[in-house]
Amino acid sequence: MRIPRRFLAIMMAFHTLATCAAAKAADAPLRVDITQGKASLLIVGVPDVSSATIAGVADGAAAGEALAAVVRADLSSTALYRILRGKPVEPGAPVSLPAWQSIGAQALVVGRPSLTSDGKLAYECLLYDVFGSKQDASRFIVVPVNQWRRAAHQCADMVFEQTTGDPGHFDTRLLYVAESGPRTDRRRSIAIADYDGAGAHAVSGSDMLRGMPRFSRDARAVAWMELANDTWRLVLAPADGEARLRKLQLPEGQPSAPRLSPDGRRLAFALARNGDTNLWIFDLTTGQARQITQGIGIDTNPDWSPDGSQIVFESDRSGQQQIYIMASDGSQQKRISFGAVGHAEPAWSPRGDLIAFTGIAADAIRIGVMKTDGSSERLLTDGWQDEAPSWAPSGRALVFSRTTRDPALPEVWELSLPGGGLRRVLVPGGASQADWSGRLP
Amino acid sequence: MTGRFIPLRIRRVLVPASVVLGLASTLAGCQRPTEGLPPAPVFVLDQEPVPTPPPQAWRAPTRVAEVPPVTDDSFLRYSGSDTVLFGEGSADLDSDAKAILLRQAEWLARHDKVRFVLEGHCDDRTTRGQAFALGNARAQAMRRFMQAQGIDDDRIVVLSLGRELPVLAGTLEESRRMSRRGVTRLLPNTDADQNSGIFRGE
Repeated sequence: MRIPRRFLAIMMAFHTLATCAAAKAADAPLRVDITQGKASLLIVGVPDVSSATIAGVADGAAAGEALAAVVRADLSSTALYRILRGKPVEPGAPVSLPAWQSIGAQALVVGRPSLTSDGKLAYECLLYDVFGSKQDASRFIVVPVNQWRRAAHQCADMVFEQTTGDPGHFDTRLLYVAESGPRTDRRRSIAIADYDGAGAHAVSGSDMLRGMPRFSRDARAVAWMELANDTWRLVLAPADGEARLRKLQLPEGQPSAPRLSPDGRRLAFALARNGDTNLWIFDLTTGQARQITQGIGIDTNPDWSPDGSQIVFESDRSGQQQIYIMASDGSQQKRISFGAVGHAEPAWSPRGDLIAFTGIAADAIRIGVMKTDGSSERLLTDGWQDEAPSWAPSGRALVFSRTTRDPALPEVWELSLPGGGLRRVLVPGGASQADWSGRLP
Repeated sequence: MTGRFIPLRIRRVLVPASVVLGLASTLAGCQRPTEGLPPAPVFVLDQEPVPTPPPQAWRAPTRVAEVPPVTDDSFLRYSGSDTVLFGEGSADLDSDAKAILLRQAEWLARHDKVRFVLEGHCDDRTTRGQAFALGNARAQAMRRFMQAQGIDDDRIVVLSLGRELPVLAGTLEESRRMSRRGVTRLLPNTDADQNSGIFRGE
């Protein structure tokens, strides 16, 4: 039985919202099907692959099983697949597609790990079209052993790309504020984890107030704001913590909301002075700062368009927080959000098509998206206080901060857009203000 | 000169709120996060992916200003309070706030070597960037008032703390109301002679 040709390209309904370029022709038969906005899940087998333990991989657990588990978790998070674990695959044994077909799998992912001659982890990731009885795609991945999870993430990326036509976002990181302690005396440090919460580690101390951290596009540098001696400053630091932190020399006033430009050369930020807050741009090479918005009211939370030519920001100049777009030199400012709900914390999708935002109503604060002209606005979450969205580089998922009425620690949650998958990002302790990295080099 | 520096307290509202605060401290002691106690901070500074990193020793919390504030019994006794409250989304000083700030300004005029920080705070239902900006607007409003009372601007440090340090009270609404505040915090003076007058409680 072959997969019917009627299967649509992934996210057709989502594409109409996103005004993407015309969907790719469905040459590959393996596709997730969305009809009427609700996904028909693609049934994919992801078996454990028996292998020896490989030193440094998964603390001595069987490597093939540990890697398969990560692949399963990645694909599950999108809520576009139904995962079948099936029977483990033995090393060296050929794959029996009829056996998978008999349990209903449409696709099969087999990942075979091994050690290279120079001590790295090699992961051969194979995607089979079960009904078509053929291998659909493969990727041979090599990573340092201590980054073994990245091999599984890159395998899941390949599967996602083949079956949806969109790039995956699994081999990425989150930069966030790690929080602990009671609400009235929070300890905070800047931390980095894999997008799924693994490998969380601090990149700053917890000795002073810090916040609003942001990656550079290549995830090599990070910027944040911190308080020392009753003075806020913006700092730039390497993500790997090897070199020294750079404290930026900015004009007088209180800076906040730093945002590195896509080309890494400029930093947009908000500067509060004399009771007003406006947007500025700092040139990282010349050290010059330039004010780009003026006037009374609060302008803050700048974010760059993917090509760096425009900036979306939030302003309460109309009497309520709303979203505006302008050229990156501050000209042609135009309001794009309207209506009774306040709009804040805009985030420009890396695809360029959507702006995510924090929607502020009297009884709820929630995440929403709209097109860049402000149309097609819709709310995506239903928590008590969901805020500060950040896009995956694929433009198909968001992370945001979630707090409840209960004075517990805040959490970071991930929403996968077309499938509606929602899950908490499991890092130790509390977390907020997450920024999603671009694809790792 | 060393001594015990006691952080400023909101004395003006202590009496009517004492029950609320007593209840709050009880509640704070037995508050339960939804999933049990969160683990102690477990971050390690190496780059290895660590499935279960060892817990880090808990450190006693320190105030935002790393240097302990000057003993301020005299300031607090005279002014009545180190804190004024603001309306939601507002940086306007109402008549209560002005009355308190006037007393503070009178004391500060008499102890004219004392420098001080004006802290602007917001409730944590405000989005973060907006809160930093609004906190600045609140602190600036207090600063303009102080300047109008003749206080030299050189003595004033304006600091917005946004929503980072909320007040926890008995109810959600009360917590938010008390978080929307401006706090006057005296800075330690390097001149020991000037300090001694304060410690003697003029």
